[in-house]
Amino acid sequence: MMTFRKLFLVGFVLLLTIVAGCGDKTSADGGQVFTAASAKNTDSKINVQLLKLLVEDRTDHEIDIVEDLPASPQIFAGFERDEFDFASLFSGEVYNNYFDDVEYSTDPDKTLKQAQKFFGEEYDIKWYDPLGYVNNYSIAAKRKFLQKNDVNTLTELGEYADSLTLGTDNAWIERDNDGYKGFKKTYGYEFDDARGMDVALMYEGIDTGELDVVTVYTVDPQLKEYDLKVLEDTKNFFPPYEASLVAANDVIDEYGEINDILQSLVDVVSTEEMTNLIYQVDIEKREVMEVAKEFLQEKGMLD
Amino acid sequence: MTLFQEYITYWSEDYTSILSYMYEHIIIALTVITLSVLFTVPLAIFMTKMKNELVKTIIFNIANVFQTIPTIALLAIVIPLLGIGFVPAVVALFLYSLLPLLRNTYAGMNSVDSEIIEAAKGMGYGTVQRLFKIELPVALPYVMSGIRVSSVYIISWTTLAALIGAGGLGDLILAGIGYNDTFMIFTGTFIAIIIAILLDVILGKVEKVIAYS
Amino acid sequence: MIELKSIEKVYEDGFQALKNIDLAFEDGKINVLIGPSGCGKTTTMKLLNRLVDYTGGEILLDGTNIKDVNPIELRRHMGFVIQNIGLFPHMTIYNNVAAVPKLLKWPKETIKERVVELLELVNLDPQTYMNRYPSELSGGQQQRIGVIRALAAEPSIILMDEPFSALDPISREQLQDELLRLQSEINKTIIFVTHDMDEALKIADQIILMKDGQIVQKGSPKEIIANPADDFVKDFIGEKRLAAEQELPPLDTFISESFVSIQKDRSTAEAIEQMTAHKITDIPVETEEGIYYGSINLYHALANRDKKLSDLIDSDTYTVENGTETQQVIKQLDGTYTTTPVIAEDGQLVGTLDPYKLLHEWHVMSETERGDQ
Repeated sequence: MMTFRKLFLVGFVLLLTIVAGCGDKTSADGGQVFTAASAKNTDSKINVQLLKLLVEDRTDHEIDIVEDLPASPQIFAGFERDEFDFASLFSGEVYNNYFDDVEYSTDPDKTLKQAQKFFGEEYDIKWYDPLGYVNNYSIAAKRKFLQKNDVNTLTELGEYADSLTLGTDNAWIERDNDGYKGFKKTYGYEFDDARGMDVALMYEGIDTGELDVVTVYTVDPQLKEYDLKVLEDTKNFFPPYEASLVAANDVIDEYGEINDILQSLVDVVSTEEMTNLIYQVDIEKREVMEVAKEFLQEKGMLD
Repeated sequence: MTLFQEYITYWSEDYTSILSYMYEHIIIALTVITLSVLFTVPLAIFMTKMKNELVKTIIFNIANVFQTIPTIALLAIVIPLLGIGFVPAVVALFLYSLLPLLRNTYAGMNSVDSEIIEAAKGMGYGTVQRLFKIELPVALPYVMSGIRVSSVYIISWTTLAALIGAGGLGDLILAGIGYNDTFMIFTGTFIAIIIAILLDVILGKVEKVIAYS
Repeated sequence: MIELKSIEKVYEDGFQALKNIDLAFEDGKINVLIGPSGCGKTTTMKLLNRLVDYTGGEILLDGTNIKDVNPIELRRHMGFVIQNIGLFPHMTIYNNVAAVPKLLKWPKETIKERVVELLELVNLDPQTYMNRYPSELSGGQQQRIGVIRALAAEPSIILMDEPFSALDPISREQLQDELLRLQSEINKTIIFVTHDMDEALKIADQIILMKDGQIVQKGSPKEIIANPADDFVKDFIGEKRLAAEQELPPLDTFISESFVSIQKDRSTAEAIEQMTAHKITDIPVETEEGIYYGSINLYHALANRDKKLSDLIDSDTYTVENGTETQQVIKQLDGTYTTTPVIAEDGQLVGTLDPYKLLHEWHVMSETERGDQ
């Protein structure tokens, strides 16, 4: 009887400790525990991982990562509720139906400036300069098909459009400026059929020949895997998508050392490097953490 | 502009595409419901007549397996076989709907009191007459409630058709999520709910008509 | 007539449910199959409409082997009433009763007349009940419908599987009475399964008592009560019921062996002497040939000592005819200690009843009657 009671007490105390541990945002080394958010795309996951590795190496703080969020609105909502302290986001998001008075432009610098201004004010965050790579949205097709017909640009693709089926994510069809509607206006043609679907299934679809052209991110490793080629955006239709890390202002105001780390991550990854990193994660199935660590070590930023 | 006015504007601008999503959704869902009822109800009836417990268990387990496959995985399996669009969406949803319909119909048929079956048998009803005049009518309310519940599921699951390029209200919802547009999400969800409720009401009426004929 | 000849029923798992059943169900009678649960009574009944098939022997229905008849046809010509009523819940009372006639494709008008007739037979107003559903009726009403549904197609044989066992005691009694009343009108061959001995004794013409798949005893209720075949039967009937229902000993046993009588030509003094010597108040008077003539009362004789014996004879006294049922005699006893002469058919004086013995029997009988209530 005594032993049973003791066991119960021990369990109860343990439970209390755990519950208390959850509420308390103190790291093992006595620093803060922050939260970083990432959407489903692999490059964002790598970016927040880079930040986590450096912060945990150079400071006493820790970072928990929340990943696979459906899209950017969920990340901004998290900032609004003070759930997230950091995130990886794209400049082109600024045209994504958030603001009425934003001016649409395909100029990368102007887009970045607008993102920094609008998002920074709206969500009280700091939008750092880009990490260095570009992950534009674009249209790709089977390399074989393009070579056979000698098509290299989106303008040239128009000739064949009425016999092609496009696969894209469900949102692109509905978007105005930077979506299918805007595309049709800019390039003056439309595809025989345009189907919104899951991005993973989209690649499955072009592989089996059900689809002829697909919308892609320029760093998608599947381009390599399925032998696809991105068509040149001759009319500069697609908005620039430059990845930046963002941080809540109150965090970097209080912790200058973290601000320094975020600054040090500006312009460190080229598009080629990022494509390679993503390939290792998505195709070679390596851990994001390992890949990110190796990269930082190569750059001499981590021991 | 108030939120309500904005929403009215959204409808007035986009009603053609909203209606076409709705139309796609209804067509897909009704096709799936029709096919799965036509397939599952006779199968469930046949199973209640079956003496071999092992075969029954196997059938239930197969139906169960389809339910446990993650949606994306099932869709990915279907693409190489059936491509994208309407057909694979219907097939995948059909496979999903097997279990609830099969289970509900089977349970409904089994709910017929064995005394009633024995009475019918002893009074000289043949096997087929007994099935159509006694067992099915008695089980009808249970079977119909199974069909109604499953139909509501299917209406909801049909939003998944958007993942495989078959369109439907899922397109509107997913686009809304990606495009940061709450109106789209709300509209897609709301219409799906309305369709589900309407279908439930219609099937309820159908049940009454059959029951009293 | 239904005859079961050497019927065996062995299930696939080897369980022998029926062993060598030889049985005839009497036409136009209520044949009750009774026994403890698992005795094979329901199985025996279900053999008849082939809900259960036997594995040995044969069953003849008016000389035809029932295996030569299509089971569905066979069932349509046998009424069937089951324990939990088994009315079809989705059909109105009308359609329930009309079920078998419809299967037999009777003309609509005929069916309607039949349903109305049957509802009236069990005192349920057709206009009120025809369009109701079974769930709207009481248990007793439902089973009345169950019974008339079995009668609908005018089968000559009706199978009833513990039809009243689920009802409350009052409804059960009512339905038993109604069944007896119905049977007196319709005279069907009824095979009735029950585990309730009171029910069996009340309604049966023939009782077939079963145990472990065999027939232990068959006969009329009277026969079974009077001569239980063995202890099992006695047990099953129950001691109390045996005591209550057993017939009383024949009247002979109550006749005093040493009775006193006097010849018609003797003197009054002689009669007085005889009565005082035997401590009786009345003495029968007989002729020389032994024919009963009347009785002399002691007090009457004492008051009229001077009169002739023949003038004192009261020829209007209470007498009992030899061979009368003991029970009837007991019921007529008025409780006074009189000497009751027993007279044979030809007028001979057989003897006098022993009042003490009779009173004792009377006492026992009234005790058990009281105990029954």
